[in-house]
Amino acid sequence: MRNIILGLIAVFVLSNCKGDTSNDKASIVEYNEYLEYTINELLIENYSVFIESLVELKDSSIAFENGGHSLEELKQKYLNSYKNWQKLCLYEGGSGSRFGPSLDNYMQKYANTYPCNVEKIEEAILSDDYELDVKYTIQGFPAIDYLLFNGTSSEVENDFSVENKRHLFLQAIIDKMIVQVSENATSWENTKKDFIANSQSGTNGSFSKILNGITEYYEQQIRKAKLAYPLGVFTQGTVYPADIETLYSENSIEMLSIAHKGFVDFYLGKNKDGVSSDKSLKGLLIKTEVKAFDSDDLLADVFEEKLNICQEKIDNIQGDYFTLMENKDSSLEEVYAAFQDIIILLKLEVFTALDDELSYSDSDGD
Amino acid sequence: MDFENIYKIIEESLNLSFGYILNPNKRVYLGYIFTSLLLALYVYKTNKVHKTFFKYIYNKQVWFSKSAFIDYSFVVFNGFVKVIFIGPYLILGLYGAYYLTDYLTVTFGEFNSELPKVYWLVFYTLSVVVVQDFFSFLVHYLMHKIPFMWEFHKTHHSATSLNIVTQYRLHPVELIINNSKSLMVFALVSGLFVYLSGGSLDKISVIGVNVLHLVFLVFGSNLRHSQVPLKYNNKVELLFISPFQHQIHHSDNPEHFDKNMGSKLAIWDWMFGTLLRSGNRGKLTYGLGEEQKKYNSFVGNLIQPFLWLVLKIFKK
Repeated sequence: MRNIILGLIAVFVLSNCKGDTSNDKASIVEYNEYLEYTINELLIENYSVFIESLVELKDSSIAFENGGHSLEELKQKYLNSYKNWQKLCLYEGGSGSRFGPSLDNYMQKYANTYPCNVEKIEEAILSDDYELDVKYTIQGFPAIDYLLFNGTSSEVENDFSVENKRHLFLQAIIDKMIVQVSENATSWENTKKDFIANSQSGTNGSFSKILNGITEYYEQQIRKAKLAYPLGVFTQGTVYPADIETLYSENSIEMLSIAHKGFVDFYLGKNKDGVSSDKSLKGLLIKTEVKAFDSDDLLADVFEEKLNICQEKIDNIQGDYFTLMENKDSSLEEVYAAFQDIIILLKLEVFTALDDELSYSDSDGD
Repeated sequence: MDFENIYKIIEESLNLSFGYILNPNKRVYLGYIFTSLLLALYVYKTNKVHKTFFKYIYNKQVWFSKSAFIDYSFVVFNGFVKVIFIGPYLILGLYGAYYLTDYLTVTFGEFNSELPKVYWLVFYTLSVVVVQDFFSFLVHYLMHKIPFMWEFHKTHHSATSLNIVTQYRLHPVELIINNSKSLMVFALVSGLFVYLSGGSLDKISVIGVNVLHLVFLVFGSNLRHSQVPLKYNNKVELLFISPFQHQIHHSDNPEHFDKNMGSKLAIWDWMFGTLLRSGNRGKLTYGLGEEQKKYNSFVGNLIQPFLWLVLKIFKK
């Protein structure tokens, strides 16, 4: 028996002398390259595109006041800017697990708190002090959605023409977004070096912060806010169709699709030219060689397949989102089910495959 | 299975087993061995032992006994069991927690807690340890009370000398039962807390270990399986199981059978009427008594429960 024990110890020692430890997830995950690519090519780029579209929106709002732009042109600038926001906001993380400058300056509050409070918006328009630092439900895209789409075009134009304060309020809430997002963009430029350098594994590392952040973002901002909450999934069946995004302009399905596509692009590491990268979440997962729990296929591929299925289901939603919500349409429930598949994989299997903190935790005797 | 996969399994299993001493989640982590040595020194001084401290803790009859080598063999063997039969399924604990949270959310709606995050942190830290401890007691109790389970638990009780590795002397079936229990408790407690706290789930931990579990590990958990009779105050032993109380649990004296089955807390034994405090019990001897002969080898320990099963079936 002693010889057996000694033999096994010898095998163990020999096994540790082997130079290649390529199966160790901490050693194969190239966090540094991943962070450098994600921050420089994806995050900073999305900030830049969004700020540019916001400035165009601001210019258009001034031109609209001066008669240089029509309401339709202003609406287009608004929608363009809102779409760019859908691609950027995932880089803030979820409200409880933000990363980077969003820890101190959470843009989502200023840009996309919905539903907006219409009464408070009308009150604010008539007052001189909007208190935009604290009143999140009177600003951002949901407020602009109300201002530009609440009624027919002639009704909206009429509202703006009889009350100049409406123009001032519109410009003030666009300015507020520009100020807040510019602050974060500048802050990212100043701090990205340290953020990228923090490539350690574990909860304090930048990679883990991003992974936690985008997971909560997907769960809370995409699944819950855009679909599950108004659909009544978390409210024992009571639907809240009036709480959907873009209630007035009726672009909810498109916004949901763009936000989800933004997440898929993030997973694939797609840059502004639409080119995927192996320095992406998918690339890292491929390197782990981890297979999905209930499949012989690589987790990286199974996850991408689930994302694509979900995207397809979103893009197949037909009709008016408000009415579909009211009727609890089966196409929405199918999308919710697809979201669930993704969240389960993301929270349980992707995390386990990539996060060092979640390694072996077996039990023994007492 | 190709050679490369076999090699990977061997490498992973051995790394796992021998890596315990560097893993703060394991009782035999070097840091806990050090604190156990300090406690052993305290007992050595208090009991005025008439030999050097080194000889007191390094008793060749214990560390090089046949029983000890069976312990060591189980550490290595169970490393393989963990890698092949347990590791791939650990994720089921996360799945269980997720589905429980989801079920509660869909059924009862979102739970809007007014409690600050720090309260959930404290409650979760406490609950994980207390609930896990209760179920450890319960499973252990059932292993002693249900004949089929006792056959597998005998492997642990067949140790005739106790050392810190005896903790790992478990029949693979018992190891699988223990891990299933842990996964179930993790899923229940975590799923419930994620729901109640609205998604924030964290525990107070030091070096990655639940702080309450750490107290248990630092304060002599290794001495439970040792020759060091560390006892607590008589009243404290109503609340916490001392190392010596666990040594009584291993005693081959029939008066001590089925006693002190708790892990950390003594209150479960108190509630179930199985608590024995240390008192003055003299020198203890360990093992299975008359049945011991069949368990004096590693293979014997592995196959005896199955032989018992076969006999049981054919007798019918």
